[in-house]
Amino acid sequence: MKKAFALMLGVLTAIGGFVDIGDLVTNGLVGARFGMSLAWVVVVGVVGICVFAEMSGRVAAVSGRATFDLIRERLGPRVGVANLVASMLVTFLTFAAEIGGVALALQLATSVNRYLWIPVVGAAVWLVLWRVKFATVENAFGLAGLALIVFAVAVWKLSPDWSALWSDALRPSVPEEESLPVYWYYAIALFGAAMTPYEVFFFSSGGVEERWSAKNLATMRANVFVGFPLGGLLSLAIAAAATIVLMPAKVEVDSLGQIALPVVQATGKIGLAFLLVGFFAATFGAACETSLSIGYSVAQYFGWQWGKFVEPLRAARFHTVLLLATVGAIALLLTTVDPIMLTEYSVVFSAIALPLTYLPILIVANDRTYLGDHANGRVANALGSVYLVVVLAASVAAIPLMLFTKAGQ
Amino acid sequence: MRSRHALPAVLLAVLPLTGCVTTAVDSGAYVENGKAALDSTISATASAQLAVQARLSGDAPRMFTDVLVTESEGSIAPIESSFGGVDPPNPSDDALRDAVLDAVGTAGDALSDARVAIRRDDMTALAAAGTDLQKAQSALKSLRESLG
Repeated sequence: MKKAFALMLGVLTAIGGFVDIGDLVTNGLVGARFGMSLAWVVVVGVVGICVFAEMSGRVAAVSGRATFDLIRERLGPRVGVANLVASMLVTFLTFAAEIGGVALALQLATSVNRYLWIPVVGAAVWLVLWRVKFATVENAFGLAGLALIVFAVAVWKLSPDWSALWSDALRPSVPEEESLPVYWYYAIALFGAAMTPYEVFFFSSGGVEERWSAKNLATMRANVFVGFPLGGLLSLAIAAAATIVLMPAKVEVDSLGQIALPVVQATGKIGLAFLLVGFFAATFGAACETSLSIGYSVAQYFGWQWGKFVEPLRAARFHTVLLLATVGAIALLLTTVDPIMLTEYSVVFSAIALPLTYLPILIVANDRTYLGDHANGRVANALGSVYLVVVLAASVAAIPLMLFTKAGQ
Repeated sequence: MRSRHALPAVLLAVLPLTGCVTTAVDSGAYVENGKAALDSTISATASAQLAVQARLSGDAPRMFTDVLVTESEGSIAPIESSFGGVDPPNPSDDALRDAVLDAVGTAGDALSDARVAIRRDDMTALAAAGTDLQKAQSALKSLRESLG
């Protein structure tokens, strides 16, 4: 019974924790501009994140050490530092975007300007990371994030032409008003949003925090192979809601409030209340995860004591990194940079950094010194290799497409 | 060797500029600028209109509607200044400039009226502002269609 409860809790938090500001903004924006014609990218991205999260979780469960820790040991400090710098820069941008997302959600609920909320949110994130237990953070925000299911309810209540939605998704084509380079630019952005590097580092370090062992492999796999795809369905629901309401109205998404409009139209004030809880939980939870990922990466690279499973005093340098990252993110946002624009750039830069994150994970997951009989099998290696080609192609194409399309204009 | 090191810095410096409006070099480019300005204004008025309709039908709380309409109104000034700041390349383009700025300005006025009505919680004035928004949006759409 206890095991079944743990399994269900893990799956539910994986669903609720899957969507972050990158998924919210990119799916809303893409749905409003391209309809469901980029739904295939979400599917490709979700399969990819499942492949690498499973490897990363397996490494943590079997070796008892986080992926980044092993990358430095296995590949040496030079490769490790390239991996560290790339993933940290992208994760820092994502962290700032998440704090901005929380502020935007609070602005929608209170109409108090987001710039007044930003320092408050930053302080709250830091306080939670300092005082609240890891499992509480993960479970509370993951479960509250399930409120975003209201997007699926809204799609159902809007009574769309289901056959048109399906045909749009199954037979993707570039809409008349859009060009092919812009279509591919947003395909890469959507792919970057689904496969954000912080997710795997957080997942593996979280496994160590929760003291996973080989016995937890089944639970970990259920979280990944059930929770993540269901989270991906939430992403598709966001895109579908935008397709039904925002696309015909010719709304170009550049705010979180616009993404909420289909839900308000379909479900009224009650739906909006659920949505605001979902926005807050998804972005606040992801802000905690991204901040922790920065701390984990730096501390694991330099070999410092890390984690929330020890007293903050015993992991002082880890907590100092968390504090500095939070102050830096607040400072970045207070330059009055638009959090939505920051999110759009962060998902594209995520795509650029993907090979540096996922190649080392594939190498470590193949090392029998650490994993013994649990090292990658043929299926995992075949999928991992295919995805490496995909992430490499996305990474190489991202900057030229960004310049050529003027960032998707 | 130095140029190799300079490349990432140049890229980082150029990337934030890629979203800027291009200067019109001829009438064709000026028309494209006009279309972009109209598209952005149509988007702003459409999202405000959806929010106003939701408020009038009792589906949206006042604060949520206020945020959306204020954001839409706030996006009009940058559109006006970026399009209005570009000189028409030929005298024959002056009519396009006047038509676009007039339509964008009318939409801005309707958004201001909607914002005031929401903050006063005056549903009668909000319904009137909603009608004005709809008219402004129709004008924007027909002008946009005339540009191809």
